[in-house]
Amino acid sequence: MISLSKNDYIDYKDVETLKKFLTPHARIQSSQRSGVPSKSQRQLALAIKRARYMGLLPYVSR
Amino acid sequence: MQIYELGYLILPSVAEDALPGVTEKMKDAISKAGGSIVDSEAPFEQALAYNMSKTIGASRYVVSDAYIGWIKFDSEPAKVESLKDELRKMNELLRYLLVKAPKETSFTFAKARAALEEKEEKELPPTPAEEVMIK
Repeated sequence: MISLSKNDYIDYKDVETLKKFLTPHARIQSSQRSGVPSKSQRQLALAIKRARYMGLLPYVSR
Repeated sequence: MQIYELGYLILPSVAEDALPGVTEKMKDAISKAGGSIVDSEAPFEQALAYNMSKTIGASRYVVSDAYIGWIKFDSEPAKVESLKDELRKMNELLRYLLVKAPKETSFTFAKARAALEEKEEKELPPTPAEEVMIK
């Protein structure tokens, strides 16, 4: 499991980190699966959505 | 005052040597809106995860790569709206993202690329030529 500290700022540009929290279909992993603190999970979801908008991550992937 | 980060995508049709001019235009727009620049990273060309389109006048451009960069600045929250209007008028910009950011820069594309290369180097076994050199 990948650890994320509550105090870390999760940057939308940090694709390599964000990729670890995506499913093979490029959907955001559920918090049950990712196992990160709730606060981090919310920041993570926001960062992933921003990265998608900027074309750094795909919305869908087969 | 609040620190903001402006992430942007520039159309790939813009020439490489015209890029500083475009970033300068954005920085001017920021200072015109009462912001002071804290940090920035120069744009570089990158493949997009999906195709995007930009409509200028009557023509629609579909692109699969773009120049990506960011500027961090300090500004009054009330003045940011006027900056958005300026940015929307810029035809060279494919997209922009204006978000609140922490003061310290913990991530840059250059740093990430260096870290990735280092990791790849470690994973690859040393080539025969290198082994000879070590001996």
